[in-house]
Amino acid sequence: MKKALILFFGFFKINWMQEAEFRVNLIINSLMELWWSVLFLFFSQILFGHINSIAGWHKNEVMLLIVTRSLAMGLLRAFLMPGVEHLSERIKSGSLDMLLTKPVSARLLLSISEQNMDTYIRTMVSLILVVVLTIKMGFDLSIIKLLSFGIVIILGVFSLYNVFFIMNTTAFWLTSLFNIGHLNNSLTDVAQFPPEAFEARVRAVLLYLVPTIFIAAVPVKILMNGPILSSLFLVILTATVSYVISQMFWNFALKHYSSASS
Amino acid sequence: MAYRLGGLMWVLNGAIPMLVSMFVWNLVGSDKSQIIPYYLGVILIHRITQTWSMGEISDRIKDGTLAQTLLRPYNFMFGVFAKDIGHKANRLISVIPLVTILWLIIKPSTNISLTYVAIAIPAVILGYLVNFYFDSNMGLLTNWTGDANGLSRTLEVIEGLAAGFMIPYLLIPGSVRNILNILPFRYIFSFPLELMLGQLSNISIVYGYLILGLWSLVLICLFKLLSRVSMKYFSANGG
Repeated sequence: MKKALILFFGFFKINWMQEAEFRVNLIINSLMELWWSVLFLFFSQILFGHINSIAGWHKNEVMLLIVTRSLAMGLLRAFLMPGVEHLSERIKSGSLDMLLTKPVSARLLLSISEQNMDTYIRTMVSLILVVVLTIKMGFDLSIIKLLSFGIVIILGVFSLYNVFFIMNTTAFWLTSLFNIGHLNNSLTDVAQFPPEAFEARVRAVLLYLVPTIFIAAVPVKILMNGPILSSLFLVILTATVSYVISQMFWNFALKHYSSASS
Repeated sequence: MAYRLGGLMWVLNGAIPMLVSMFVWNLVGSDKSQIIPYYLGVILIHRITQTWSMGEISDRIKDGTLAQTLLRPYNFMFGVFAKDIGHKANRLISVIPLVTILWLIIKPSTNISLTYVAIAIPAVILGYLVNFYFDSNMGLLTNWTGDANGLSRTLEVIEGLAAGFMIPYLLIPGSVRNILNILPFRYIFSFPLELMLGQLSNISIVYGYLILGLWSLVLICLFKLLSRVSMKYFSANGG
């Protein structure tokens, strides 16, 4: 764990130095990350100009869903996914060998070696917006609620990371998955809307199979109504099972890996 | 076609957000006979009018390969255009069956007619032209900015609203729409669809075509000017 943290902060520093070389680009990218969240909030404003609620969720609750999803996606895209989404390029070029020969878990190196600095900024702003909206809506915030919220978000992000990791690991056979990051983003779009609004079959696939329900809907329900033990249990189970399956699949995929070059 | 799965994923990546938006606006109770065909149409029209010229020109400037292209006895934009058409054909091979299948499953009731489609076809072609030259102009700015990534992401955000992807264009509040009407994005993506669905009056059709024509002229002239000026700032390392 200590080694992982040392590596994480080391890579954070390197990535920050790389991004800071192109400051204008960093500023523009950060602003654009924020703009997407602003756009979705504007979208909800227009939506609620036509209706009063979606499946029983009112305007502020849906806005809280949007910013909570933005926070979770910020965490996922800041330091877990950037490296994983380049797995197919590493396989094609043979640079995956550099990670496999290191005395550290290759999966850990792959996941944390590339980090998006502009997404860190989005994450911080999303967190501030969550706090502001929660206070504005007058929710009673106890330590237990905040802890439960934090645990569900982190485990939800981890579960989603495991699922996307499995999808990216298919690059060992499918070779060119350079654009899978965009697909991952698209699949989480549904998390911005109340799960009850979707038909049961659609909900099962889009919210449970790809567990986006834990990155927005469940954390927001915890803020609204307090910790839900069954949800906490479910998210822990999902995170554990998804990690085990993703790790097994990764080990299986590595057995079928033959380097393009070293 | 070497990486078919990559192409299919681009198609899914374009279709999923539109389908989610379609679902949401359907919930709102908006006119379903307009919303569903609108978003199925967005998936198709987006791919027909989409262009990759910004990235292509920006990459050639950044890695210096533009220098080799400039030495050839033809305008480098022919190569950019040809690549664009190739990408487009690749995407359409997947998108057309997808939209057809969705149409057959959902079976939306609609008043699309051959007349409306015939009126919309020139708008689709002009829309692609406007988009191609708009993106090409942005790509040429790489000579000054060093990278087109930030510009590309800025455009993505603006298009999300101004093109009628996230919110059907006619549902955007009037005050915001008046500002967005100045930009070309609505005419590239949403205008052909509105024509196909018979949502526009004759005056609006004429007005829309005039705006499209005007943007085409402006962007082509701007491109000629920018390509001449930007080449003075272009430098390539190596050979």
